[in-house]
Amino acid sequence: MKWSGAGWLAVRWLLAGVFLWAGCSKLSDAAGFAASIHQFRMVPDPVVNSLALSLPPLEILCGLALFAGPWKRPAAFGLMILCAIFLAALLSAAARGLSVDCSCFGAASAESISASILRDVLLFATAAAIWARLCRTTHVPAFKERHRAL
Amino acid sequence: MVESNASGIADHGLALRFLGFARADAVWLALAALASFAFGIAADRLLRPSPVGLHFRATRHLSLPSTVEAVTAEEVAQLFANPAAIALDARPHLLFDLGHLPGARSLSRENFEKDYSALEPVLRSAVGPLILYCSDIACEDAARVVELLQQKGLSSLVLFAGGIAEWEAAGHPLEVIP
Repeated sequence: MKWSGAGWLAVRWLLAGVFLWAGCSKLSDAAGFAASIHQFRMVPDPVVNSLALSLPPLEILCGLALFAGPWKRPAAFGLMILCAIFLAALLSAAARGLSVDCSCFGAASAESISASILRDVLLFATAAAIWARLCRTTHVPAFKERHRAL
Repeated sequence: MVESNASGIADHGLALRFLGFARADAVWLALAALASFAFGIAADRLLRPSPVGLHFRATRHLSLPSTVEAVTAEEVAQLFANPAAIALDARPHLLFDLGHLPGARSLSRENFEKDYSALEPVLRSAVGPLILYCSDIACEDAARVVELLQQKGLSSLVLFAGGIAEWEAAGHPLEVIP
């Protein structure tokens, strides 16, 4: 049981670290990330720059909250949704035959679209597993009391 | 009887528990996203002109209609696979002579009317995309010429905002008039 708890902690911190790294890399090369968003052709041009400067802080926020504190579970949920959005964008680009570079970890992270999709699926599954685990272990007295009465 | 009820409620309760958490977490995420987008919009406005602000300066300042497609160097290279595609250089003639995209025609912003008169039959009969470019993302000649061509009633316009700089950076050759 103790090992299991340590294992989950390690996975949670690893996921938090991955998103902190991804957020910082994108923020340090916001122009490259903006160009990358533009390649996906999913948002109007005037929104591209703002989006390129908005997504990295959201990743950093979720990554920091996932490390420790009262917002671990919402942060895991947030990362799950972010991964789902990134995955939808990548699949849409692949379906339209676009040759895109996701710039998921800054400009230096040139890789194939299939590799990006595979990694995104893995990150989504990890975030979902952590969120489900946190949901199960979160203590909700009022909830338990309500259902015990039934 | 009690056992069976308790078991049934427990299963149902777990799903409810997950739904309840999902709802609460979605509210947290919405607030976090709102804060991040507020940061993004403010940063974009405060940092302008910045490398990020410059990225779409040409299209943003001129409010080009969405019918004009913006493309990258790789996409231009793909467009060249279509023999009907025509590249149009919006820079001054001197720069055009020093080097331009392979097969490009000169349609300079400074001599637009004269160049356009010479090219009009070609442009009117073009069946492929008309790719406009100039020096780099900071230059606005190509976007201006796109506007002028739209006023002339031409369509199928494509803006290569990165221009010569992006073309060369991507490792593609230039054509020079001997």
